[in-house]
Amino acid sequence: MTGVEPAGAELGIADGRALGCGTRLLVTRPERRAAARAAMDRVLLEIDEACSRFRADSEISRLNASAGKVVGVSKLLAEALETALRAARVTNGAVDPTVGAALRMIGYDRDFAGLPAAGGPIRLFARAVPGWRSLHVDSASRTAWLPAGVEVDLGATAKALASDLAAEAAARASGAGALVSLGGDIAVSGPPPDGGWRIQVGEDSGAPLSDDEETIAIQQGGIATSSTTVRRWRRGAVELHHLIDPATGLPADGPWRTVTVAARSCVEANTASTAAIVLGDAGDAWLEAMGLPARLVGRHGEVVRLGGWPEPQPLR
Amino acid sequence: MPTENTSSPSTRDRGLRRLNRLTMAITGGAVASLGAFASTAAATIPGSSGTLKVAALSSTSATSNVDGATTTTTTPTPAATPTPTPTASSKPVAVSGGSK
Repeated sequence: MTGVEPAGAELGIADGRALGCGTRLLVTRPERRAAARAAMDRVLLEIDEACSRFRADSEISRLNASAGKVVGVSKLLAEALETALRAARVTNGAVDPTVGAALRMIGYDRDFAGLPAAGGPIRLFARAVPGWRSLHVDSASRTAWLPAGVEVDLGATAKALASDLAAEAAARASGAGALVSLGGDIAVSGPPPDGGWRIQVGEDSGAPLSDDEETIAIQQGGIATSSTTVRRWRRGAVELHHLIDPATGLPADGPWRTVTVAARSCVEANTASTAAIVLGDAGDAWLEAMGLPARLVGRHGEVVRLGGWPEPQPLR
Repeated sequence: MPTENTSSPSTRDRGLRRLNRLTMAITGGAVASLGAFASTAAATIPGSSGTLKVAALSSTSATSNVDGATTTTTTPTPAATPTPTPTASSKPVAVSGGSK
Protein backbone atom coordinates (compact mmCIF):
# COMPACT_ATOMS: atom_id res chain seq x y z
CA MET A 1 0.00 0.00 0.00
CA THR A 2 1.34 3.42 -0.81
CA GLY A 3 0.36 6.89 0.24
CA VAL A 4 0.86 6.38 3.96
CA GLU A 5 -0.45 9.11 6.22
CA PRO A 6 2.89 10.68 7.13
CA ALA A 7 2.54 10.87 10.88
CA GLY A 8 1.38 14.46 10.41
CA ALA A 9 -0.53 14.52 13.65
CA GLU A 10 2.59 14.75 15.77
CA LEU A 11 5.18 16.26 13.43
CA GLY A 12 5.45 19.55 11.58
CA ILE A 13 6.31 18.92 7.93
CA ALA A 14 7.65 21.22 5.22
CA ASP A 15 8.56 19.97 1.76
CA GLY A 16 10.40 21.94 -0.90
CA ARG A 17 13.26 21.94 -3.34
CA ALA A 18 16.83 23.24 -2.99
CA LEU A 19 20.37 22.35 -4.07
CA GLY A 20 18.94 20.57 -7.10
CA CYS A 21 16.92 18.04 -5.10
CA GLY A 22 13.74 17.57 -3.10
CA THR A 23 13.86 18.66 0.54
CA ARG A 24 11.89 17.62 3.61
CA LEU A 25 11.92 19.17 7.08
CA LEU A 26 10.26 17.53 10.07
CA VAL A 27 10.04 18.98 13.58
CA THR A 28 8.66 17.41 16.72
CA ARG A 29 6.89 20.65 17.68
CA PRO A 30 4.60 21.49 14.73
CA GLU A 31 3.92 24.98 16.03
CA ARG A 32 7.65 25.76 15.63
CA ARG A 33 7.81 24.64 12.00
CA ALA A 34 8.11 28.16 10.55
CA ALA A 35 11.13 29.02 12.70
CA ALA A 36 12.78 25.72 11.82
CA ARG A 37 12.05 26.21 8.11
CA ALA A 38 13.54 29.70 8.11
CA ALA A 39 16.69 28.42 9.80
CA MET A 40 17.00 25.52 7.34
CA ASP A 41 16.45 27.78 4.33
CA ARG A 42 19.22 30.14 5.48
CA VAL A 43 21.69 27.26 5.67
CA LEU A 44 20.70 25.90 2.26
CA LEU A 45 21.02 29.32 0.63
CA GLU A 46 24.48 29.81 2.13
CA ILE A 47 25.59 26.34 0.99
CA ASP A 48 24.25 27.03 -2.50
CA GLU A 49 26.11 30.34 -2.71
CA ALA A 50 29.32 28.75 -1.49
CA CYS A 51 29.36 25.27 -3.01
CA SER A 52 27.22 25.05 -6.17
CA ARG A 53 29.25 24.16 -9.24
CA PHE A 54 26.25 25.16 -11.35
CA ARG A 55 26.14 28.80 -10.27
CA ALA A 56 28.60 31.10 -12.03
CA ASP A 57 28.54 33.44 -9.02
CA SER A 58 29.22 30.78 -6.38
CA GLU A 59 32.45 30.72 -4.43
CA ILE A 60 33.40 27.29 -5.75
CA SER A 61 32.94 28.48 -9.34
CA ARG A 62 35.24 31.42 -8.62
CA LEU A 63 37.78 29.07 -7.04
CA ASN A 64 37.68 26.75 -10.07
CA ALA A 65 38.07 29.73 -12.39
CA SER A 66 41.08 30.96 -10.41
CA ALA A 67 43.11 27.75 -10.48
CA GLY A 68 46.77 28.55 -9.97
CA LYS A 69 46.05 31.49 -7.66
CA VAL A 70 45.52 31.72 -3.93
CA VAL A 71 41.85 32.60 -3.40
CA GLY A 72 40.12 33.93 -0.29
CA VAL A 73 37.17 31.78 0.81
CA SER A 74 34.35 32.14 3.30
CA LYS A 75 34.33 30.24 6.58
CA LEU A 76 31.57 28.01 5.18
CA LEU A 77 33.44 27.13 1.98
CA ALA A 78 36.58 26.48 4.00
CA GLU A 79 34.57 24.06 6.15
CA ALA A 80 33.06 22.41 3.06
CA LEU A 81 36.49 22.02 1.43
CA GLU A 82 38.00 20.58 4.61
CA THR A 83 35.06 18.20 4.90
CA ALA A 84 35.75 17.03 1.33
CA LEU A 85 39.45 16.58 2.07
CA ARG A 86 38.66 14.62 5.24
CA ALA A 87 36.35 12.35 3.23
CA ALA A 88 39.12 11.79 0.69
CA ARG A 89 41.65 11.05 3.41
CA VAL A 90 39.60 8.47 5.30
CA THR A 91 38.51 6.72 2.11
CA ASN A 92 42.05 6.72 0.77
CA GLY A 93 40.91 8.81 -2.19
CA ALA A 94 37.79 6.86 -3.14
CA VAL A 95 35.74 10.00 -2.48
CA ASP A 96 37.71 12.76 -4.16
CA PRO A 97 36.65 16.41 -4.66
CA THR A 98 38.82 16.93 -7.76
CA VAL A 99 36.31 15.20 -10.04
CA GLY A 100 34.88 18.45 -11.46
CA ALA A 101 36.44 18.14 -14.91
CA ALA A 102 35.58 14.41 -15.09
CA LEU A 103 31.92 15.20 -14.40
CA ARG A 104 31.91 17.85 -17.11
CA MET A 105 33.51 15.40 -19.55
CA ILE A 106 30.69 12.90 -19.08
CA GLY A 107 28.11 15.62 -19.63
CA TYR A 108 27.10 16.54 -16.06
CA ASP A 109 27.68 20.26 -16.59
CA ARG A 110 24.49 21.77 -15.23
CA ASP A 111 21.83 21.23 -12.59
CA PHE A 112 20.51 17.70 -13.09
CA ALA A 113 16.97 18.97 -13.71
CA GLY A 114 18.27 20.73 -16.83
CA LEU A 115 20.39 17.84 -18.07
CA PRO A 116 18.97 16.14 -21.21
CA ALA A 117 18.17 12.49 -20.50
CA ALA A 118 19.63 11.50 -23.86
CA GLY A 119 22.00 13.03 -26.36
CA GLY A 120 24.52 12.34 -29.07
CA PRO A 121 27.67 10.30 -28.45
CA ILE A 122 30.51 11.90 -26.54
CA ARG A 123 34.19 10.98 -26.37
CA LEU A 124 35.07 9.19 -23.14
CA PHE A 125 38.55 8.29 -21.99
CA ALA A 126 39.84 6.85 -18.76
CA ARG A 127 42.18 9.12 -16.85
CA ALA A 128 42.68 9.39 -13.12
CA VAL A 129 41.47 12.66 -11.60
CA PRO A 130 44.17 15.07 -10.36
CA GLY A 131 43.67 13.91 -6.78
CA TRP A 132 42.65 15.50 -3.50
CA ARG A 133 46.23 16.22 -2.48
CA SER A 134 46.36 18.90 -5.16
CA LEU A 135 43.75 20.96 -3.27
CA HIS A 136 45.17 23.13 -0.51
CA VAL A 137 43.05 24.83 2.12
CA ASP A 138 44.11 27.05 4.98
CA SER A 139 41.24 27.65 7.35
CA ALA A 140 43.27 30.02 9.51
CA SER A 141 43.86 32.47 6.69
CA ARG A 142 40.71 31.37 4.85
CA THR A 143 42.44 30.74 1.58
CA ALA A 144 42.43 27.91 -0.93
CA TRP A 145 44.58 27.02 -3.89
CA LEU A 146 44.23 24.67 -6.85
CA PRO A 147 46.75 23.91 -9.58
CA ALA A 148 45.78 25.01 -13.10
CA GLY A 149 43.54 22.46 -14.78
CA VAL A 150 41.99 21.13 -11.56
CA GLU A 151 38.28 21.58 -10.88
CA VAL A 152 36.62 20.86 -7.57
CA ASP A 153 33.14 19.38 -7.22
CA LEU A 154 31.69 19.06 -3.72
CA GLY A 155 28.66 17.00 -4.72
CA ALA A 156 29.78 14.00 -2.67
CA THR A 157 29.94 15.87 0.63
CA ALA A 158 28.42 19.36 0.49
CA LYS A 159 24.79 18.22 0.36
CA ALA A 160 25.35 15.95 3.34
CA LEU A 161 27.10 18.77 5.17
CA ALA A 162 24.12 20.96 4.38
CA SER A 163 21.80 18.34 5.91
CA ASP A 164 23.87 18.23 9.09
CA LEU A 165 24.08 22.01 9.42
CA ALA A 166 20.42 22.56 8.50
CA ALA A 167 19.14 19.96 10.98
CA GLU A 168 21.23 21.48 13.72
CA ALA A 169 20.03 25.00 12.85
CA ALA A 170 16.40 23.90 12.63
CA ALA A 171 16.56 22.14 16.00
CA ARG A 172 18.19 25.14 17.63
CA ALA A 173 15.72 27.64 16.12
CA SER A 174 12.66 25.57 17.01
CA GLY A 175 13.75 24.17 20.35
CA ALA A 176 12.55 20.81 19.02
CA GLY A 177 13.84 17.68 17.40
CA ALA A 178 14.41 18.13 13.68
CA LEU A 179 15.01 15.96 10.63
CA VAL A 180 16.29 17.38 7.36
CA SER A 181 16.34 15.34 4.16
CA LEU A 182 18.08 16.70 1.07
CA GLY A 183 17.48 14.29 -1.75
CA GLY A 184 17.56 11.36 0.65
CA ASP A 185 20.62 12.52 2.61
CA ILE A 186 19.14 12.71 6.09
CA ALA A 187 20.39 14.32 9.31
CA VAL A 188 18.58 14.53 12.63
CA SER A 189 19.22 16.79 15.60
CA GLY A 190 17.64 17.32 18.99
CA PRO A 191 15.28 14.97 20.79
CA PRO A 192 13.69 12.40 18.43
CA PRO A 193 10.00 11.52 18.43
CA ASP A 194 8.85 8.41 20.31
CA GLY A 195 10.29 5.36 18.62
CA GLY A 196 12.85 7.41 16.71
CA TRP A 197 12.74 8.88 13.21
CA ARG A 198 11.20 6.24 10.95
CA ILE A 199 12.96 6.23 7.60
CA GLN A 200 12.01 4.29 4.52
CA VAL A 201 15.03 2.89 2.74
CA GLY A 202 15.12 2.43 -1.01
CA GLU A 203 16.89 3.36 -4.19
CA ASP A 204 14.97 6.52 -5.08
CA SER A 205 14.48 9.35 -2.58
CA GLY A 206 11.52 10.48 -4.68
CA ALA A 207 9.60 7.26 -3.99
CA PRO A 208 6.29 7.71 -2.16
CA LEU A 209 6.12 6.77 1.51
CA SER A 210 4.81 3.24 1.72
CA ASP A 211 3.83 0.57 4.22
CA ASP A 212 5.45 -2.05 2.03
CA GLU A 213 9.00 -0.72 1.91
CA GLU A 214 11.82 -1.48 4.31
CA THR A 215 11.75 1.00 7.19
CA ILE A 216 14.23 1.54 10.02
CA ALA A 217 14.41 4.02 12.88
CA ILE A 218 17.28 6.23 14.03
CA GLN A 219 17.59 8.36 17.14
CA GLN A 220 20.57 10.50 16.17
CA GLY A 221 23.19 11.06 13.50
CA GLY A 222 22.51 10.65 9.84
CA ILE A 223 21.64 8.25 7.08
CA ALA A 224 22.56 8.55 3.43
CA THR A 225 22.09 6.60 0.23
CA SER A 226 24.30 6.67 -2.83
CA SER A 227 22.91 5.11 -5.97
CA THR A 228 23.82 4.71 -9.59
CA THR A 229 20.17 4.11 -10.50
CA VAL A 230 18.57 7.54 -10.20
CA ARG A 231 20.81 10.26 -11.61
CA ARG A 232 21.45 8.63 -14.99
CA TRP A 233 21.58 9.90 -18.55
CA ARG A 234 22.49 8.53 -21.94
CA ARG A 235 24.96 9.83 -24.50
CA GLY A 236 24.97 7.81 -27.68
CA ALA A 237 24.72 4.18 -26.64
CA VAL A 238 26.34 4.73 -23.25
CA GLU A 239 24.46 4.98 -19.92
CA LEU A 240 26.17 7.33 -17.49
CA HIS A 241 25.75 8.25 -13.83
CA HIS A 242 27.23 10.78 -11.45
CA LEU A 243 29.38 8.66 -9.09
CA ILE A 244 32.91 9.02 -10.45
CA ASP A 245 35.70 6.54 -9.76
CA PRO A 246 38.71 8.83 -9.22
CA ALA A 247 41.03 6.11 -10.55
CA THR A 248 39.46 6.28 -14.01
CA GLY A 249 37.56 9.57 -14.09
CA LEU A 250 34.56 7.59 -15.34
CA PRO A 251 31.33 6.46 -13.65
CA ALA A 252 32.02 3.72 -11.10
CA ASP A 253 31.28 0.27 -12.47
CA GLY A 254 31.26 -2.05 -9.47
CA PRO A 255 28.90 -4.72 -8.18
CA TRP A 256 26.87 -2.37 -5.91
CA ARG A 257 24.25 -0.12 -7.47
CA THR A 258 22.87 1.37 -4.24
CA VAL A 259 24.36 1.67 -0.75
CA THR A 260 22.71 3.11 2.36
CA VAL A 261 24.74 3.82 5.51
CA ALA A 262 23.86 5.05 9.01
CA ALA A 263 26.55 6.99 10.85
CA ARG A 264 27.20 9.68 13.42
CA SER A 265 26.50 12.40 10.86
CA CYS A 266 25.10 12.65 7.37
CA VAL A 267 28.56 13.58 6.09
CA GLU A 268 30.00 10.37 7.51
CA ALA A 269 27.12 8.34 6.12
CA ASN A 270 27.36 9.83 2.64
CA THR A 271 31.13 9.56 2.55
CA ALA A 272 30.87 5.87 3.37
CA SER A 273 28.00 5.09 0.99
CA THR A 274 29.78 6.80 -1.91
CA ALA A 275 33.08 5.12 -1.08
CA ALA A 276 31.45 1.69 -0.98
CA ILE A 277 30.12 2.10 -4.51
CA VAL A 278 33.43 3.43 -5.85
CA LEU A 279 35.46 0.69 -4.11
CA GLY A 280 33.38 -1.91 -5.93
CA ASP A 281 34.29 -5.46 -4.94
CA ALA A 282 36.06 -4.15 -1.83
CA GLY A 283 33.17 -1.90 -0.80
CA ASP A 284 31.40 -4.29 1.56
CA ALA A 285 34.62 -5.32 3.31
CA TRP A 286 35.57 -1.67 3.72
CA LEU A 287 32.21 -0.88 5.32
CA GLU A 288 32.61 -3.83 7.67
CA ALA A 289 36.08 -2.68 8.61
CA MET A 290 34.68 0.76 9.37
CA GLY A 291 32.01 -0.83 11.58
CA LEU A 292 29.19 1.07 9.93
CA PRO A 293 25.64 -0.28 9.61
CA ALA A 294 24.92 -0.54 5.90
CA ARG A 295 22.48 -1.91 3.38
CA LEU A 296 23.84 -2.69 -0.07
CA VAL A 297 21.91 -3.49 -3.23
CA GLY A 298 23.77 -5.44 -5.87
CA ARG A 299 23.58 -5.01 -9.60
CA HIS A 300 20.81 -7.57 -9.88
CA GLY A 301 18.80 -6.36 -6.89
CA GLU A 302 20.22 -8.67 -4.23
CA VAL A 303 20.33 -7.01 -0.78
CA VAL A 304 23.17 -7.41 1.74
CA ARG A 305 22.95 -6.00 5.28
CA LEU A 306 26.10 -5.34 7.30
CA GLY A 307 27.30 -3.96 10.61
CA GLY A 308 24.09 -4.40 12.56
CA TRP A 309 21.74 -3.12 9.90
CA PRO A 310 18.45 -4.74 10.93
CA GLU A 311 16.60 -7.34 8.93
CA PRO A 312 13.19 -6.15 7.70
CA GLN A 313 10.44 -6.69 10.26
CA PRO A 314 7.18 -8.41 9.34
CA LEU A 315 4.44 -5.83 9.08
CA ARG A 316 1.82 -5.84 11.78
CA MET B 1 88.91 -20.06 46.94
CA PRO B 2 85.21 -20.69 47.35
CA THR B 3 82.89 -17.94 46.17
CA GLU B 4 80.37 -16.69 48.68
CA ASN B 5 76.84 -17.04 47.40
CA THR B 6 74.90 -14.03 48.74
CA SER B 7 71.55 -14.49 46.85
CA SER B 8 68.79 -15.78 49.01
CA PRO B 9 65.48 -17.00 47.48
CA SER B 10 63.76 -13.70 48.31
CA THR B 11 66.57 -11.73 46.66
CA ARG B 12 66.27 -13.91 43.58
CA ASP B 13 62.49 -13.41 43.47
CA ARG B 14 62.91 -9.64 43.69
CA GLY B 15 65.37 -9.80 40.84
CA LEU B 16 63.04 -11.87 38.72
CA ARG B 17 60.17 -9.45 39.37
CA ARG B 18 62.38 -6.52 38.36
CA LEU B 19 63.39 -8.39 35.21
CA ASN B 20 59.74 -9.09 34.45
CA ARG B 21 58.83 -5.40 34.81
CA LEU B 22 61.71 -4.47 32.56
CA THR B 23 60.59 -6.95 29.92
CA MET B 24 57.03 -5.54 30.02
CA ALA B 25 58.32 -1.99 29.69
CA ILE B 26 60.47 -2.89 26.70
CA THR B 27 57.57 -4.74 25.04
CA GLY B 28 55.20 -1.82 25.62
CA GLY B 29 57.73 0.61 24.19
CA ALA B 30 58.22 -1.56 21.13
CA VAL B 31 54.46 -1.74 20.49
CA ALA B 32 54.11 2.02 20.90
CA SER B 33 57.00 2.62 18.52
CA LEU B 34 55.47 0.25 15.96
CA GLY B 35 52.15 2.09 16.24
CA ALA B 36 53.83 5.46 15.77
CA PHE B 37 55.75 4.13 12.78
CA ALA B 38 52.60 2.66 11.25
CA SER B 39 50.72 5.95 11.71
CA THR B 40 53.54 7.89 10.11
CA ALA B 41 53.73 5.45 7.22
CA ALA B 42 49.96 5.54 6.70
CA ALA B 43 49.99 9.32 6.64
CA THR B 44 52.93 9.72 4.31
CA ILE B 45 52.89 6.79 1.89
CA PRO B 46 50.24 7.28 -0.79
CA GLY B 47 47.97 4.35 -1.59
CA SER B 48 45.51 3.52 -4.33
CA SER B 49 41.75 3.91 -4.23
CA GLY B 50 41.16 0.19 -4.17
CA THR B 51 42.96 -0.53 -0.92
CA LEU B 52 41.26 -0.81 2.42
CA LYS B 53 42.03 1.74 5.06
CA VAL B 54 40.46 1.67 8.47
CA ALA B 55 40.07 5.05 10.09
CA ALA B 56 37.46 7.03 11.94
CA LEU B 57 35.39 9.05 9.49
CA SER B 58 35.32 12.00 11.85
CA SER B 59 38.47 12.55 13.80
CA THR B 60 41.45 14.72 14.28
CA SER B 61 42.81 15.72 10.92
CA ALA B 62 45.71 17.65 9.52
CA THR B 63 45.18 19.98 6.58
CA SER B 64 48.04 21.06 4.40
CA ASN B 65 48.24 24.76 3.82
CA VAL B 66 49.26 26.79 0.84
CA ASP B 67 52.61 27.54 2.47
CA GLY B 68 53.22 23.89 3.28
CA ALA B 69 52.43 24.17 6.98
CA THR B 70 49.74 21.99 8.49
CA THR B 71 46.68 22.86 10.51
CA THR B 72 45.24 20.29 12.87
CA THR B 73 41.51 20.30 13.42
CA THR B 74 39.26 18.06 15.44
CA THR B 75 35.68 17.32 14.56
CA PRO B 76 33.58 16.54 17.62
CA THR B 77 31.44 13.46 17.18
CA PRO B 78 29.08 11.47 19.36
CA ALA B 79 30.68 8.59 21.18
CA ALA B 80 29.36 5.70 19.13
CA THR B 81 27.97 4.95 15.71
CA PRO B 82 24.19 4.92 16.02
CA THR B 83 22.63 1.66 14.95
CA PRO B 84 19.35 1.80 13.10
CA THR B 85 16.64 -0.18 14.80
CA PRO B 86 13.98 -2.29 13.14
CA THR B 87 10.49 -0.96 13.18
CA ALA B 88 7.47 -3.11 12.59
CA SER B 89 5.14 -0.14 12.55
CA SER B 90 4.36 1.57 9.28
CA LYS B 91 4.25 5.30 8.70
CA PRO B 92 7.77 6.21 7.66
CA VAL B 93 8.30 9.97 7.74
CA ALA B 94 11.10 10.32 5.20
CA VAL B 95 12.83 8.35 2.45
CA SER B 96 16.54 7.74 2.09
CA GLY B 97 17.35 6.89 -1.48
CA GLY B 98 19.31 8.08 -4.45
CA SER B 99 19.17 11.82 -4.94
CA LYS B 100 16.41 13.12 -7.18
